[in-house]
Amino acid sequence: MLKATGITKSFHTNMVLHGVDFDVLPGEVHALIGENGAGKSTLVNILSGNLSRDTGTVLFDGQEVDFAHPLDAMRAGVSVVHQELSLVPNASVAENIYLRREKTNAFGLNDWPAMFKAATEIFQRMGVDIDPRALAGSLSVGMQQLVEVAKAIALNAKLIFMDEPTSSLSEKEIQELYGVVNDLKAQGLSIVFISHKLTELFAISDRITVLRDGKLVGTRPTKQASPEEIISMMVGRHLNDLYPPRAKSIGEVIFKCRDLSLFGAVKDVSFDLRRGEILGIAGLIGSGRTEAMRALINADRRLSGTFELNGQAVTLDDPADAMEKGVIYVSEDRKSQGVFLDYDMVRNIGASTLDRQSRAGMENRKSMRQSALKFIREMDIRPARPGTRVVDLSGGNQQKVLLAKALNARPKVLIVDEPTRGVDVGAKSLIHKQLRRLADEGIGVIVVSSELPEVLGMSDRLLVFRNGTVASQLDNNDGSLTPESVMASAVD
Amino acid sequence: MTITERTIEADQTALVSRLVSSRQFWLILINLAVICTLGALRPDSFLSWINFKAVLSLMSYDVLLAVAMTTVLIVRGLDLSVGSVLALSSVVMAMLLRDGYPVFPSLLAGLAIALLCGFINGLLVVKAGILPFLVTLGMMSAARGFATVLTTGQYVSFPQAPRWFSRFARQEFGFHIGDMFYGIPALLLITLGVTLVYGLLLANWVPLRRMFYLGESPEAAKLSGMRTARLGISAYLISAIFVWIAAVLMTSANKIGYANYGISAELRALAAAVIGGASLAGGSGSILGTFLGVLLLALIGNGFVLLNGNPNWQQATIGAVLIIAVGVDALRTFRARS
Amino acid sequence: MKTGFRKARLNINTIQYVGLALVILAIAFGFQAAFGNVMTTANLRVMAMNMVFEGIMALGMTFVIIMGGIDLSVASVFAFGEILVAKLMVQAGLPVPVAVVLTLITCAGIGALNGVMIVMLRVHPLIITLGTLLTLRGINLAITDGKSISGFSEGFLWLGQGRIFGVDFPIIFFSVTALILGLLLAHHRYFRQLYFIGGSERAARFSGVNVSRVKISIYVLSSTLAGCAGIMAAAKYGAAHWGHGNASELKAIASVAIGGADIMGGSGTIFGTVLGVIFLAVVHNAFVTSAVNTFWYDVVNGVMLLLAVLISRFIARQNTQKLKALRQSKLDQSQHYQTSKGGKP
Repeated sequence: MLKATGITKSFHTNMVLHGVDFDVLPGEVHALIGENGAGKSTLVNILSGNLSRDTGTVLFDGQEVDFAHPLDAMRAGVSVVHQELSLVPNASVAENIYLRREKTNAFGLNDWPAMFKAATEIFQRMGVDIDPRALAGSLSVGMQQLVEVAKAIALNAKLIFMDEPTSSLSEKEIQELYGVVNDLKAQGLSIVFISHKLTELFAISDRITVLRDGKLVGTRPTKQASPEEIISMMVGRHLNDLYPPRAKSIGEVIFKCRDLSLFGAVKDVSFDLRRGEILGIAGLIGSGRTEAMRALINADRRLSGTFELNGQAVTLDDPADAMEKGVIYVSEDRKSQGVFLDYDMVRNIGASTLDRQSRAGMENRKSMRQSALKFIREMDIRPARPGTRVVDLSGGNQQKVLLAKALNARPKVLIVDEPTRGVDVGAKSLIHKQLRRLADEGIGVIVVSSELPEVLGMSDRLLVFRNGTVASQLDNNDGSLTPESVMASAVD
Repeated sequence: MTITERTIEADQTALVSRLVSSRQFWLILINLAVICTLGALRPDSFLSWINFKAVLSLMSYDVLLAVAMTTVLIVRGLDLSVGSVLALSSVVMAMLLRDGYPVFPSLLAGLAIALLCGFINGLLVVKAGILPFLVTLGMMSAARGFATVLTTGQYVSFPQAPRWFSRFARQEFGFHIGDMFYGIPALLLITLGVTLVYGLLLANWVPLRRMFYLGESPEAAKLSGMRTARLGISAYLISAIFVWIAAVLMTSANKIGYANYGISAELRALAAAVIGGASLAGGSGSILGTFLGVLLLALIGNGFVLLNGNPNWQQATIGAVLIIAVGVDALRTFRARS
Repeated sequence: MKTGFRKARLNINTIQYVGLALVILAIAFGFQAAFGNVMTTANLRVMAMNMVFEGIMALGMTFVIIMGGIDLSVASVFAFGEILVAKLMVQAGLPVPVAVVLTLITCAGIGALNGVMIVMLRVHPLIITLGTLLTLRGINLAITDGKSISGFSEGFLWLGQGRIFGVDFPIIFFSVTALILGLLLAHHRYFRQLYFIGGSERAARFSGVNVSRVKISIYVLSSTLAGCAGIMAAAKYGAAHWGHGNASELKAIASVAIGGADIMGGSGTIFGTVLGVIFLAVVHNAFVTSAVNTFWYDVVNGVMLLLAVLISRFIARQNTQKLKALRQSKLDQSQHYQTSKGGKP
């Protein structure tokens, strides 16, 4: 059905796909799996015309194709059901399915009965019961997901990519989706199923392809594979000596978190953080890691949670209060929740410390500039001109500025979420060294990351999140913790 | 240490290019160009003290309202109600003065009304998360309505009020040079004074500096330890204070309160602020830029009058200058991107 | 299951419409009971004629708002239409049909200019149409010197004062246009695209919608309708004046918002807008007939606008809350994962 060979793709200097081969047989469910950043989405985007490839060939139905636009791909019979749904809530289900291909009557108006009928037929073919007249916005997320699938079928898709389709579905809806996938397979359609959940892949796929670091690790028939094998293919072996040494000594508890809950996302999270150690937080996307950390500083209003800092109960009423008490959270979303893109480094690094760096209430630009220069030196930010706007910096340097802003506020507990996402190797190791130095200086450091090697390499102890709560707590004092054991408690 | 020296040097060379790319610089040049052109064409009438005084006094209210608008634009807001809150505040003060209340309580009541309107705006925008455009559109209608209801659309004069109040805005302070008396009306002095002070504060005072961060990225500001809700509402309150100052000056200068004060002033204020470098996307804007924006519009208007052109074209130029300003901006960002 | 969907659909739009209709009826009958003479033909006519021009602009505004835009310039296009048609007839001596057609073409051109600038400059439509509003208002003032133009032929006056079966022509025009546009918006695929653009411009583009073309055409529609309203207004008043239609853009926007459209785009119907227009007309009229201070009208307008937006905001919040509750119940189910782990290291 589809055969891709030697697909390569880079963004700027960052190579995200290294000559990947991938093929899909007619009437098969092919699972595509890999850690975050392994290149799954990039591959799907290339195969569906959303991104262009640098090198490589794609054969579809025996013909070489090069889709310039998602529309081309759709016309040829390749559709994607995205994780973020693209339905219009205020239009009917049928209309969403037939957008731009509406059936019209003699007056040129939409022939609703015909569209409803056709949509009903598609739903029958899928074996689901959805009213095509309903507004798309009135459906549950699961149902909307199925409407997206119906949209693909209406386009006569021969190959459907499903990007984490079950991430926000209930158990019942997941079962329904499996039914649909099996029905479509029986009708000769091919489906590429992208997911983190191993149980899921084993339940419905015929073959499994594993990507890691933009490279193909291998493709296995599902029947001959074991979950353990797939996990070890996913995580591979990473060199640990890239990371700074571990904690020299671990002291008393400096920060305590008890019964942290956020409505609809986090439930009863408790943990301790000790002097000198780096606490890692792992878990899949949607497991509640980030939500828990945001709830901790009350960036999103939490349901419950009590905290102790150096033996004293603290309240952490809002991010500003948390910052005053020394608990600082550095967001994973650098561009929209981290830095101030249009402002220069001085203003960014000084953003949290305006009060301290002032004289009689007036901004003390000299002092701000000096601390900016200090961090530029310490972290080797380039270009080393404090007047450079952050938007003009590379991702790695932006991340350093973001970290500098937090450090400038003199944290007692520093929570960094995805500290090295989209960052080059050099900046990455520099950031890692900085974090370790902070821990050595007695600052409590929490590293949240979806990159397993990073959390394993950095942390002395590890919390694994699953379904909004701490699924397990693992010691990693000697660095002996394996990715497999973490993955095992992170996946359902 | 070398890094420090190098950077300072680099920053200094960047200074020239930054100056050239700064909006205020260009606005000053354009304003000067307009002044020179008009001065060359109409040396007698344009380059006279009386003309300058008239132009500057007339634009005072617009300056104050544009400063109010700039403040909310900085925090990614918008305030369409500046003109009608001005009217409401003016009407309330005039009525209290007419009924024989002393000046200061009356003025404070006007301030309270303006602040209340600003607070409601801020609350609905920040806490209820409604688009500022809609909130202040509603407030615009409601405040104008209240002002009209209170006065049934009539002028409110206040003959009993102390005479100093109905005189102070037009009172001139000045100096003699030779036989000539160069007088500046209090109206203009007060406007320039508060604008200058506020401009300096906005550029330096930490609590106001935070508003820029809020407008540039609300989420990042929140995580940087700023109390964003409080900050957002404060911007609307500050805006209300400037509207009130304009209302006091207008009421005093015209010696009446009137429900139709400031009609469509919000659009002029918005235009001037955007010309001066503020943006609906928040995080930018300066008082100097806004002042220059108002000045440009006022000079162009004055030019139409002096060049025996039709003064009515003045209105049209406001819109045209606004479109040209955003057009130039758009082209600049295109070029920067590509 | 199917009934469940239907109910959900009822909830969002219908309840809003029914509620609005009930409020309208309550005001009308309440004032009728208290003061009489609300429900007379003469009064209903006055009521309709008071709002009809804003109503016509609101129809175009509905389209613009659904696709996530805004058009402030309608107010000055309205006055420009008045003035241009008057000048063409009175000063250039053109026959009525030619003058009307030329005026409409010019207004359409202004809309196209709005659309092109919005698409090309990628500046918020609020700013662009504000610019057009101010420019055109200035032009209106300048080309008339602030004076009104009158002296129209009988034939032209019919456009504003004539009646068909006892109903004024502008009201007929409004009703027929609303019907046709309502039909097209609900059933024609070209206009259905507006909902997709307003919902997510990116997604619409991916689905092959020519966003730029649609946008420009809708600004043309909005301006043309404002021009139509202007021509009829000139005929109704027997004079063209630059000050006519001041702030009518805000009334038009308020009608659309009160009619339940989301100002962020993606929702709204002509039916809702018509209800919104009727609401404003009835409220205005209630103040006139009741001899209560008519000036309260603006206050009620403003407060209603805020209420309407607050309500739709509240509904949206309810929906996200429901979604969270669903996830919370999932969390509660998975309680068994937590054994003795959480907390005691």
